[in-house]
Amino acid sequence: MDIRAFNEINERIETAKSQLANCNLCPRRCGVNRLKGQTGYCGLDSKLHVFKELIFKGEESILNPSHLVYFTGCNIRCEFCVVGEWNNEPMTIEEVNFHKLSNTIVQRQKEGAKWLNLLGGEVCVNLYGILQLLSNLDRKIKVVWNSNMFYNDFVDKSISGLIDIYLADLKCGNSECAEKLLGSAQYPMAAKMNILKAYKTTDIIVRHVILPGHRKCCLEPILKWVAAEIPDVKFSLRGYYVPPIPAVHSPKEYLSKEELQSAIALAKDMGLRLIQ
Amino acid sequence: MKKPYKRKPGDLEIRILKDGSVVSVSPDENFLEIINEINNQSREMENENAANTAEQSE
Repeated sequence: MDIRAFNEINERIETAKSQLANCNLCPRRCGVNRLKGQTGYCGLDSKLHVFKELIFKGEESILNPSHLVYFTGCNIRCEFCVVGEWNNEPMTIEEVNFHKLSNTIVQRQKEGAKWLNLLGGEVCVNLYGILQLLSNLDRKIKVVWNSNMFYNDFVDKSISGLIDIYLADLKCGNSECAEKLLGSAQYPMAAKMNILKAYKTTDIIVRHVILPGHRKCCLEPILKWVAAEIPDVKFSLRGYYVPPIPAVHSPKEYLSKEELQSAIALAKDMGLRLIQ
Repeated sequence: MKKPYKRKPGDLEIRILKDGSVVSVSPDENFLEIINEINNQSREMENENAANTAEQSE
């Protein structure tokens, strides 16, 4: 965390809190008063709820081992989300005790975690609580903002200098698939804008989980966009799609080895900087 | 037809695919250990089988 940003953190916490009175953190712009317990699309009030934390060695290699901390609540509804069950009623999960969580984070660093990897659900809808959490930590702890990148400008300004790397999902390559699979046609445009902003200021990994059967509509447009706009960005193609049961709009099958290999070959042909 | 079971918070899900690979859905730390153990054992078995096949063909 950058020292100047860290010195401003209390001010940023207050501003983030005031935003919750008329929540416009993400493009949903629900406008609810989360400070008074009203909830919008993400289902959250102003509190922070963590449903899981663990040390994980399966992230992109430069992020391993990561201490993953999962916050409840999300602003999209990926049909294939592997933690979706935690986000349907996010406030039913116990509220965070900041002191306890900070101690856990310190302990996990001692156990070998190189990164504090913040994810969800979605981190942006938990901005206020996350800023409070960061204010309790040693600023030398390296922080990953592991996000779907579907948020408004305010979020970006609030975290600027406080995180060390974005792990930015880019999930769908067009509005139609995004509407069906994620529940938001706006997603691709908003995520791309935020990725471009993040790329200019901070270290970033752009990650795409390959969707079986979505080569023309999702994979190719994403690869083309990355090649045109941010060709030297660290780019991660992941093949671990897990079909939901039941799958309504999402692919029903797992990604085949052939599809994965052909996606990697295409990305290489386009000159992308693939990372493992 | 019976509706498929939907995961609930706290459920752990493991899938064994027809090619024998094991998929765990968003595991916790303990579950990860179990999956790794299964994968290691299955790799050992594959190696043993391969060694046996090689011996038989010699």
